[in-house]
Order: sequence, then C-alpha cells, then structure tokens
Amino acid sequence: MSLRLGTGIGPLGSAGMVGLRGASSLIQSMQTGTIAVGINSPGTTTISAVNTSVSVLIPGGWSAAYNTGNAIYATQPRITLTNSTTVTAATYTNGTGVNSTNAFTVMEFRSGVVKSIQYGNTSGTSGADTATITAVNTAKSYVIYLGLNSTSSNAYAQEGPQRYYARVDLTNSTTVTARYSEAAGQTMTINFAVVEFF
Amino acid sequence: MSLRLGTGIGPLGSAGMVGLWNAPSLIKSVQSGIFSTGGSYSGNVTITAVDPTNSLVLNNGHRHDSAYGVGADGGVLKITSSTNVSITKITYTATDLVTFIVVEFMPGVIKSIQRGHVHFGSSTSTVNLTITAVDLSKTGLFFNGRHRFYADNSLPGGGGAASESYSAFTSSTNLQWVKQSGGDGSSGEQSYEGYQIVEFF
Repeated sequence: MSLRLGTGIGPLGSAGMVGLRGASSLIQSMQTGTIAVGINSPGTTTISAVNTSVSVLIPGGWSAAYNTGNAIYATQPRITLTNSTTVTAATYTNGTGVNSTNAFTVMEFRSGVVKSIQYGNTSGTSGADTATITAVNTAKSYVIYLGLNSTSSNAYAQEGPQRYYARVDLTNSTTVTARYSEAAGQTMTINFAVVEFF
Repeated sequence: MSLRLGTGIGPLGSAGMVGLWNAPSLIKSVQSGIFSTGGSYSGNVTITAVDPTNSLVLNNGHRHDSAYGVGADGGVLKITSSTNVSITKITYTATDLVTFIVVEFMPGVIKSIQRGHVHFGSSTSTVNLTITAVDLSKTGLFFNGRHRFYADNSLPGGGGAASESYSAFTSSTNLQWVKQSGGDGSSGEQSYEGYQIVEFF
C-alpha cells in the first residue's frame, strides 16, 4: 500500500487506499437551477463558479406549456456546462413554439475524485452518430445523456416523433454513440458528458 | 484531523480527510444494459450483482420506431434488487429501446439513496414529495425517466393536454415536481416520474 497522503489528489496506491487530505466530503459544491428555452432561442443560466474539470451536469427533467403538435414539449432540450459559470440549453431551431423550463444539478466534486469529465455532442443524420473522446477507462466511466435538438420544424403532422428521442452509449474507450430512429435529412445534435472516476 | 482509517467508510474527520482503505478507486463497477420494451408495460434486466445502497442507475435515453403515440414515455427505471433493474412504461406496440448504466461506488462514497417515483394525476400540476432529510449541499437528483398512461396517435408526446415535468428541492425534506400544464383531466393523462436522490459523504 502506498500512502501518498500528501498529494491530496487521486488514488493513494493502486491496491491501497483512496484519500483526500483536508476534505470533509467528496463534494465541493452542489447547485440546482432552471433554464428557460424557446424554439430558436437558446437559454442560459448563471451559476456560482465551479471547476468544470470536476463538475458533473445532471438533467432534472423539463416541462413546457402544452401546445398541440409542438415538439418542444416532448423533447428534452440539450444542455451543457458551457463554462465555469454558465449552463446552456437549446432546442429546435425552426418552427414556432412555447418556452420550456429545464431543471439541472451541477455537482462539483473535490479534486481527486473525478479523473476527467468530457462534455461533447454528436451531430448528424445517420441514426447512429459518433463522437470521439479522449480515452477513458470504461470500467470507471459512465456517459450521461444531456438531451438533443435538431434543425427540424416542430410540425408533428409532418415529421414523426421518432426524432424527438435518442439514447447514448459509451461504445468503447474513445467513442460515444448516439442512436435515434430517423432524422429525415434533419441534423440531430445530441449532448452527452463522460465522467471518469479515479 | 481524525484518522479513522480502519473504518473504511465515510469521511475521516470533519475537517480532516476523506479516505477508503483497500480501495484503488471510488468506483467498484460500471455496467450497461438495454430494455427492448415493445408492447410491454414492464420489464426486467438481470445485472451482475451490486450493492443497491451504493449503486445508482442512469437513464441514458431511448429511441423507438413508432410513427406516433408512445412518445416521451421512456419508462421509469429502478434498481429493485442486487441483480435486477426494472422498467415500467406505457403499453404500446412500438418497440422502444431504453439504455441504462448502473454505477456502483465503493462503500463510503454514497451516504444514502432514496429512489422511487411520484404520481401525477390526470389534472395535477404540482407534486410535493416528502423525503428523508438530506444535506442539500451534498445531494444530487437524478431523473429516472417517465411512465405515461396515455398513448395518443396524433401527438408527438404521446399524450393529451399535459406536459413533461421537472423537479427541484424546496427544502431538505421536500422534492417538488412541476408540470407547466397539468393533465387536462379528460384524456386520462397521468404519469409516473422516476427519481434517485443521492446523498454523498
């Protein structure tokens, strides 16, 4: 066992112990909030500054005022941690629609808990779009689905709802794959975060 | 600083140090799975055994092949035992593929997990859920999917006059869920909304 207690970061020995000096908790901060977003009108919310390299963004659901045939109310807008003080949400870029409210949590770990966090997106029309990420240890990593938007109009009568939903997988150590049923020529942009722990 | 290194669980002193003996990582295991729920109201997937008190399931989205109807109902996911993840969702003929990840932390990372679902009635806009008190400065909320009760062939969301929902803590013992438009009461639009409240040490 290696007791590198002075480092304050990361596992203290491969077979020994995980520890953080000077830390009463694994969590540095926890913030929740909401973002208002409309069609073709991305929204932002300002949060207290966090270290983005150790902060995980977690979607907390969304809600839009009902409007028949409007895709926005059925689709989880894509959100991301844009910088240390900003969370952004975006939904469809065409059509008319209503505002939605998107809840989120930003969970900031203390340094030494999370090895890496990568925010990214896939973009395409193939039904199985991929994004390349910096290599992670898949045994200690997971991917979080952070919603989608597209260039689609919101007229449900013209476009099947298949494209309002998607799923993401950490396919291998360097690839995230987003899958959906169809895009019909509309570009789908799907957000994700990959969290790797020590 | 209190160096209770032998315990292997939790913070080692309130102003001192967080540590786990015999742990090369904070993560014990990560496994993924998928539900294929065509026509089904519920389903189960067997996973490699985990300790549910140290594990959470992440709903990683869904896709389906329906023209209309099943809509936003990706289903509510839960860890129901050490070797089982369940899903409940609307019964619909379309195949819906729902992916999930189970993350198991080493003992000493997670202090508590509260999991379950809230029920929106057919004309409900707000639901307040009383929970066991948590420290909000160390607690994360994970939305675990939605189970709607109504499939409408003419709407992308698969439901009548009701929207999706979001949630937020209003106190250390209350989680509030909101729909901007509650069910209209005529379409029978009800839903379950799944959650995991994860309090870290």
